[in-house]
This record gives sequence, C-alpha cells and structure tokens, in this order.
Amino acid sequence: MSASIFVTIYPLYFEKYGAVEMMLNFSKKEKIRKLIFVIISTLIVIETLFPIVFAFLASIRPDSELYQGTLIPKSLTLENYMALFRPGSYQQTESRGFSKYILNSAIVALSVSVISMILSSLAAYSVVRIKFKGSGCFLFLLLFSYLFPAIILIAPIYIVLSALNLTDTYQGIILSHSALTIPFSTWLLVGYFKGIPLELDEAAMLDGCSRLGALIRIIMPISLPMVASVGVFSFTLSWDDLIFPLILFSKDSLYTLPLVSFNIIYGEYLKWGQLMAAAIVSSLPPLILYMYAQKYLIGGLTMGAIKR
Amino acid sequence: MKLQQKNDLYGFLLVFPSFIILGLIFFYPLFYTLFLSFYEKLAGGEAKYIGLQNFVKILTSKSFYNSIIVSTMYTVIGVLGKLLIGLSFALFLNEEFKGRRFLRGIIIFPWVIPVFATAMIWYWLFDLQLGPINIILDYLFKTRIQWISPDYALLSIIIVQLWKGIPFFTVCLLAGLQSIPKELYDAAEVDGASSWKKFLYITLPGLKYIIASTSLISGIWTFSEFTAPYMLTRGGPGDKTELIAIHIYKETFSRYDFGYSSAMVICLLPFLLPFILYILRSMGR
Repeated sequence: MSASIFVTIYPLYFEKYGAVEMMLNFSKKEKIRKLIFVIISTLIVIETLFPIVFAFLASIRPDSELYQGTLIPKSLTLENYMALFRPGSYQQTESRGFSKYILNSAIVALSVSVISMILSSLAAYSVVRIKFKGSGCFLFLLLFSYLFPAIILIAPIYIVLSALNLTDTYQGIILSHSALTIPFSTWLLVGYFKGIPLELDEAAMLDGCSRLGALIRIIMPISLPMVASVGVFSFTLSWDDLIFPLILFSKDSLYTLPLVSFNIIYGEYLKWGQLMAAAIVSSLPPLILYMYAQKYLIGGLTMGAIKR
Repeated sequence: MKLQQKNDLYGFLLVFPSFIILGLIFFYPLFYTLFLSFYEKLAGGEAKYIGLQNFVKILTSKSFYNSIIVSTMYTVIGVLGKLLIGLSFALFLNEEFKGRRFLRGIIIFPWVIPVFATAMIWYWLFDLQLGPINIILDYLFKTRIQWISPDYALLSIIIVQLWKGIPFFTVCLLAGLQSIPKELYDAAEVDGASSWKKFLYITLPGLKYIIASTSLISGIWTFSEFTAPYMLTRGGPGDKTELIAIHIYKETFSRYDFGYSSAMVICLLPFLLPFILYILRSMGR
C-alpha cells in the first residue's frame, strides 16, 4: 500500500520539483536578458537624446544661472523664448524679432514644397504612364542630378542666377531649392505611381476623363499621402539649407533661419539660452511634419534597395 | 505614327517645367563649369581664355590637396562609424522586447532636427567653459577638451556627423533586416547554427546590397557636406576642417574667380563620378 503510494507520488513530486527548478532557471535567464535589453536601450536613448535635452534645459534657464557652469536647472524661465521674439532685443539683428526670419523661411520652404509637389507629380505621371520617347533618358538625368552634389557647382549657379537678376530675391532661392528637391521627389512618386493599377486610369479615361483629368481625379487622391510626404521632404530640405542664402542674400530682411543662426553664432557676443531657444523653435516645424510623413519617406528611401 | 508623336509631345510637356528648372540650376551650370575651367572669369568681368593655367594652379596648391584629404578622412571615418553603429542599432531593434516601438520612434530624432539647429546645439555642447560635455568631463575625469581646436576640430565635426547620420543607417538597415525571410533563420536553427554563423551566412549576405547602396549614397553626401561643419568651425582652425565644399565656397566667394573654382569642380569629378555611375547602374536595374 505504502509502496504503491510512493511509486505514484514520487514521479509526480519529481516532475513538479523539476518543473519548478526549470522555471527558476528560465526566469533567471529571462531576467538577465531583460536587464541587458534595458541597459542597451537606456544607452541608446541617452546617445540619441542628450544633445536635445541639454539644449532644452539651457533654453529654459536664466543665462545668469547658465554661466555658473552647472547642469541641473535651479530656476526656470521663458525669458529666452520671449526675448527671441521681441523686436530689438535680439543680438545681431537690431530691429527684427525672430518671427520675421521664421516667416521668411516658411515662405521659401512652403513655395519650394508646393512647386516640388506639383512638378514632380506631373513628371512622374508622364514617365510612368505616358512613357514618351526620351522618358528613360529623362529619368537617368533626374537620378544623376539627385546623386551629384550640386553644392560644388555654386560658382556657375551663382553666375546664372545673377545673370537673371535673381540674387537677393526669393524667386532665385526657391528655384535653386526646387532644383535640389525635384529629382528625389519625382523618383519617390515614380515608384509609387508604378504600384497603382493601370485599369484605374483606363476606366477613368473611358468615362471621358482626359489624361490630366485621370491624374488629378484618380491618381492624386490615391497618392495623397506620398505626395504630401514629397512636400514634407522638400520643405525640410529648403528649411535646412545654408549655402544658397549665404551666396544669394545680402539684405538682412531676406535672411532665412540657417543664415541668421550662422550670424548669431559668429556675432558680437553669444547668449547661450537664446541660441538654444532659437534651435528648439526652428526644429519644431520639420519635427512635426516628419512625425506625419516618416513612414512614407523611409519607405521611399529604402524602396530602391529592397525591391530587388 | 501621328498619335505616337502627339503622345510624346504631351508627355514631354508634363516634364518640361521640371526639365527647365533642372537645366537652369543644374545641367547648364555643370556644362558651364567645363567651359569656365579654361578661363579666367572674375565677378562682373569677361571670361578670358587661359588654357590649363587654372589646373596648374590647383594641382600645385597645397590647400586643394588638404581639402581632399580632410574630406576623405571625414567621409571614410564618418561613413564607417555610421555603418557600424547603425548596424548594431538595427540588429538590436530587430529583436523582440518591450519598448521596441518607443525606441524606434526616439531613434530618428537626430535625423529630424534641422542640420543648422544641430550645429547650434553642438556648438553649445562643445563649449569649453559652459558646454555640458566639458562640465561632465571635468566632473568625471577632472579634464576639459577644447573641441574646436587644431587637434580636435575634425573629430568634433565627425562626432556631429555620426550623431546626425546614425538614424538614416539604422532605419535603412532595419528595413533590410525585416526583408530577410524568417524561414532562413528557422532552417539554420534546425541545423544547429550558432548566432554568429547565422549573422555571417544569412544576415550579412541579406544586407549586402542595402549596406552598399546606403554607404555609397551617404558617402557622396558626406563628401560634399557643408552646413554643419561650416557652422561649427568655418573650416578652421586654419584649414584643419576645410572640407571640399567649404574650400570651394571660400575660394569662390573670397576671390570671386569663378574660373578657378570651376576647375576645382573638374578636378573633383574623378572622385565623384565612379561612385555616382555605380549607384545609377544598380538603381537602374
């Protein structure tokens, strides 16, 4: 009797004991794995965010405190941001507040993104659907100009623009930036339009739509997210550019943010808090736009490489 | 035939505006450069034919070689660094763990911050007295580094390049990793392959093409980078960080000798064209 109990219980006990043992072991391994992942994640977060965090901290501290050379803020203030937008008090620029330059940058960047969205949609549609004689050649030239660093051509570009009387105008810089954004924009849209079934525009044209009508009524609504991303890409490229304002603008009233930032850094004297406030403020528009367009742009960037 | 011609014309009309802008700002200047490189052309003046004199001047000037060397170091070290760190980040983010989505969102921040704002922020981080990096170094090691100085300036702009450029590599390589079929790893598992072997024989070959194209494209951009380095150092101290784009900008707009700077562009073509044509060929396929 007792022996039979022993025979039945012992394996059960052993099995249970073994399972617990195993579970203990397993969770220990799992814990170590978890710990390693937490550590690496933390390191990545620090590496990525520390410049932004320090910039933000500097922007919300009074300058007097900053000059004590400490890292942790004791008192907080919005004075740096307010001073930035107050006309007259801003270093370098006697009369204008920062909002003037934000407006300038916005005018240029928005124009570039609108031009780029329209022209590259037309070009991409033509290359993908109409396939005119020479469209292959056009695509080749497009990719070539995308890959070639146009910045080294500033001398002849400057000559062309000054021959056309376009220095010290927004038209000149908008034209230049568009030339930088159109190639990649068209390339993105060519890839996207290729994925849209041909039957869709054929059906529209059977219903009496013209080719352009098919583009506007059928293709554009479907591609809206991609077209908007092209706009975001163009906006940020234009927002970011220092070289063209540097060579084209001599009047302070035309300056865009990168040029103003450059002048602040090498100006008479630096107010760190205001400089960081300026950096944070000028990062916001592209940041917000990218949050939206991220997945499409990344898709486009990696598209060429993965579709093989 | 008639219809075909109409079609061609219509198609060309649609690309025409883009064609004009690119022609005006890119292709005409490119050909004009070829022409100007044999001329002396000062701002406002007429172009004067001087044969190969510009090229002789460039090839005997130390500053041109200097900027080629500086640019090459900046590009090779920078792209290798971005590739290695970006690859490790991508491998890590490809694992299953809690907070992975959050981390993927965080990681693209440096990419999204405008270049000029990045330069402003790092200009502050690098400051000798008040910059956070030096405050931390002082606290931990009782030492401070003058970052924008002859010894450290190139390293400084490479650090900024790494910080800014890692996200692009991480994102591209992560997309590449996710396109590798899971079955390959399962099969290797069955065969008892170690993680290292799996990395060597499945992951790396799977990423081969994307590593090559990302590095090459990033290499071309890095080689001709201007904004961040110029804002941080203006090419200095001396000519320690005078990258090629900074050199061309300075030469062009301090002497206003457009012929000379055009000839410099021609001298750069042997460095750029092979890479561009290689990428074009692989993209066209």
